[in-house]
Amino acid sequence: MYQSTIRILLLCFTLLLSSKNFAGNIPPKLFTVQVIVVDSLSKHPLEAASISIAELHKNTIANTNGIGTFDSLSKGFYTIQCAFLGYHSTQQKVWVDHDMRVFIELCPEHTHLHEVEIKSHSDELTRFNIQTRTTLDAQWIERIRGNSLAELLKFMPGVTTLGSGVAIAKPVIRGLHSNRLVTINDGIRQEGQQWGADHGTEIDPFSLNKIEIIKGASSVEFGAEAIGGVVRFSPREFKDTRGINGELYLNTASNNGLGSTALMVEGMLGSKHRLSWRTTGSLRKAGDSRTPDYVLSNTGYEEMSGNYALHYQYKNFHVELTQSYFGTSIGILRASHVGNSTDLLQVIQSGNPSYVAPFTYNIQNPRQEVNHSVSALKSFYVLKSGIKLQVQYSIQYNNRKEFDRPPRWATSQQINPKPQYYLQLKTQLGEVKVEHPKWKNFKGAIGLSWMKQDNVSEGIQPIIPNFIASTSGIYAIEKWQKNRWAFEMGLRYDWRNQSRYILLNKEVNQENKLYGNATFSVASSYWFNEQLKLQGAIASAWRPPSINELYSNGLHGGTATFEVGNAHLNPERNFNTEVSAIFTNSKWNIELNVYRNYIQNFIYKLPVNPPIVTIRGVFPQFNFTQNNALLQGTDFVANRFITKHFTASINASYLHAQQIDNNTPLIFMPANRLGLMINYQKTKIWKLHHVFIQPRIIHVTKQNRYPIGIDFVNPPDAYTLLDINFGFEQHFGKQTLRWSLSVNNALNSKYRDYLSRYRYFVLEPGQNLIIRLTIPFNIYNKKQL
Amino acid sequence: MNTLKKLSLALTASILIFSACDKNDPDPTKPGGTNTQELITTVVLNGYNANNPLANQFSVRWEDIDGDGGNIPTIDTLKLDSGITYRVQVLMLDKTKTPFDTISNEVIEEANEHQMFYTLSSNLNDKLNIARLDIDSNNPPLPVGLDIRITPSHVIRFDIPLIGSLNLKLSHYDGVPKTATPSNESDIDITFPVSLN
Repeated sequence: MYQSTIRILLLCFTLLLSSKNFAGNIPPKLFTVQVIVVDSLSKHPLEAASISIAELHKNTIANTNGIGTFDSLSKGFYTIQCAFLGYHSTQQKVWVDHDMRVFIELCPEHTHLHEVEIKSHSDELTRFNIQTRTTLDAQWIERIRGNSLAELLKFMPGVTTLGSGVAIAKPVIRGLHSNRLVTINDGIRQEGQQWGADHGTEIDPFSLNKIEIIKGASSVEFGAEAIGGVVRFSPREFKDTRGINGELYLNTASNNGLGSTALMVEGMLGSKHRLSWRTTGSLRKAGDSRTPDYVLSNTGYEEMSGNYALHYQYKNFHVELTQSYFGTSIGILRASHVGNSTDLLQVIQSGNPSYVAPFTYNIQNPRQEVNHSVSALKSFYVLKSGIKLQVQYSIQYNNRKEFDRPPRWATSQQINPKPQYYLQLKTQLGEVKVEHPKWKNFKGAIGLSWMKQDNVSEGIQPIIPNFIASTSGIYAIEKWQKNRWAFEMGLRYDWRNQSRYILLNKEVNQENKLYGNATFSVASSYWFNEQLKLQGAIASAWRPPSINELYSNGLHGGTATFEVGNAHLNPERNFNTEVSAIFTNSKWNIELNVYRNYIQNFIYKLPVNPPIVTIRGVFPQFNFTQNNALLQGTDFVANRFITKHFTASINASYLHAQQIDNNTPLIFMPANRLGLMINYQKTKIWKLHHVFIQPRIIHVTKQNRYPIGIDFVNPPDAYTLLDINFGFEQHFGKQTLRWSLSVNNALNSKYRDYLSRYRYFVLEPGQNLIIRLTIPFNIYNKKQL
Repeated sequence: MNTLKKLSLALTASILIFSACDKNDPDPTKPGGTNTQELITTVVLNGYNANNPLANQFSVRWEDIDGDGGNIPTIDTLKLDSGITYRVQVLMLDKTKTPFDTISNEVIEEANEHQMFYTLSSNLNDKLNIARLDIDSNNPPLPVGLDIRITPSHVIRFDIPLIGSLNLKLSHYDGVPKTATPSNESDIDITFPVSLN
């Protein structure tokens, strides 16, 4: 159907993400709504205020009279959101059943203090979306939640996943992943052993309400290392009405016998002194995954996590305390455990896994055991002048144990297995930020951040050494907006001081490294008219070499390779340029962006001769080295609103990644892909409410660009997958039940993915039916304040 | 009063946080010592004349004391005479332990899950014949391969020794049935140079 040479691939999700419009029954008549935005004090119209209808993903900006117009709206409830630099953003629900005008008054920040949530507060600087970002909201997270966190992301254009089975998957943005992305969870940098391609993201998928992907270098706000972008996870916002309520989630999946449940309870009390709280607990357990042909033995996993958050507010003082725990035990595919590279080649040639056992929930070695806990204290205070002071401190512990299969003759290891490595990473983060209110057309912030990491490695063969690293940064961001133009500029400087400790001839040997460098970004956007916006950005960020790139020295389990670090690596620096065009009207929503990311000193693994000779056989040796690289590509999404109920989407991403110096393609880059999706939704069918059905096809081409003769096997063939999502609500009096069903890989296709580390050994999992039930409940609720 | 409240709240909260992290965190500046993994550092082939155990004795070694990487392994050459039938016993040692740990004893205990395979280079293939003498308790029994006999096919006197190689591969059948073919998990996979006179 598609040729593997198709250059532009189409994916189909973003629309879905946005078209969560369930409002209204059919009457074919369409209405026009004019939104008039004025300053709440002066009543002056606010030109260029951004106005959007959340349900329809429609955006516009106010004209010189402060008026923004939406036409062709069907009858129904809509949420109109309005934002303007220097003003508190607001939203208003309106019932549309005739042509109408809606007045929205925005309060200037410096004169009137609203009860601003900490969450929205941290978003304020980024509200004017000059950077390219894609958001997945709560509703869609609930509808597509499956095995891993990264799985939620993979239908976003330009985003793919790097995985080892269903339980371990991490996002890849435009070909970059691991240490080249920064992950922010609830305002805090998530720090684990993220350098490992087989190390997942240690965050509970049930604790999330919003996922944002910020592509390109955005590190001015988020710190060094974000050469590839930022993945930002946000929890549910705190409850803002008095009472207690919650939600119970039950999920099950057929492929691996997944059963999972989570309970969220939240509440608010007080009026002058407001205390909001929220707590979530979740459990997940899954057995072996199955391909159409065989069981993937030892790929089960279990997870347990819990968290609570307290938010206290008195007038314009806010303080928030959160603590969370995430623990998991993950089986590593038994057939991926091979002796040496000869064994590996033998397995690849046979085309079948070397070990298959009946389905089980038991997890044996090799396996990973990881837990991650975070405690954070955040507070902010708004002065009378409108200046906002924000202080936060957090401490997180990431403990990772990886167990290999002990040799049979190692009897003591059989009885009491020791982890191959046990890495204990403690990270403390501190941040101070001062935001100034709108002054003339400017708004901005300055900030200081500090991070200290202590890593202790134990185990049979620790892959990285002990280290202490402290990073300090200072940054300033300023935004300017007037009429159709918006500009943003950011500058940051970071210092990193790192000491590694090893035992050399029974004495402690210390090696220090000091890195310091600047990050900057300049971005601008221009509205040609109410439908078309053009934006561009130039940014440069840097990344110090990660600890494994500097010091790893040893065998890498699943891939039978010997990896050797290089203590003399220089930091990477990138120069990212990108241009986007966004067009929205009542029929179409089209977004095209083109990027060029040039990375100096790009760090990668180079195979060297001769291979390493060990008593267990010969292993290819890879040394970390650097070279200049260029990643260029395009992400494209088009949504067509066909009728009130039907939306069709097409989505494509294309990436061309090359090493400059020796002019060869970069290895392990995601293949180009294209997606198509149709979304049908209706407010009521028979007794079911908010019904949706959504078939989706994804075609992934074969990666034809790879360096010849380096990998054990050439990239796998192209594949096409069909997924179907379906859901509805049932109302029993006041009680609602929300159901959703998904069939992933509905045609039970046999395929391998280039970015799966298991592709040498086995097929990807086959058909999977997932059933999800959400039961919201109310313990008690007072009328809204 | 307000300030006081705020302060006390912040204080309580921070106590909560700090109490949570008041663990005995390990100190990165004190890296741990060597680890007690059971390794195989050394494979020794002890041979003698099959017809006269006191004659033509040899002991050749394949040794990598510092483990994977680091210094390259020490590998002796196996020197054989085409007029002699040899009996050879394989010894596997972990020399990082004091006294040395004899891993081959443990392999013999786990004989049903292990098998040593011998592969000669093509130039020696028709000149030497290797027979594995020891068997396990499987039904029917399969070879273990730690006790072998090397028989020359015919006596040839070379002007200069014939140089080839012998590969030893110890297959581990972990959870899969032991068969006559190698598994995908090699505990040992080494090659000795062979010099045949």
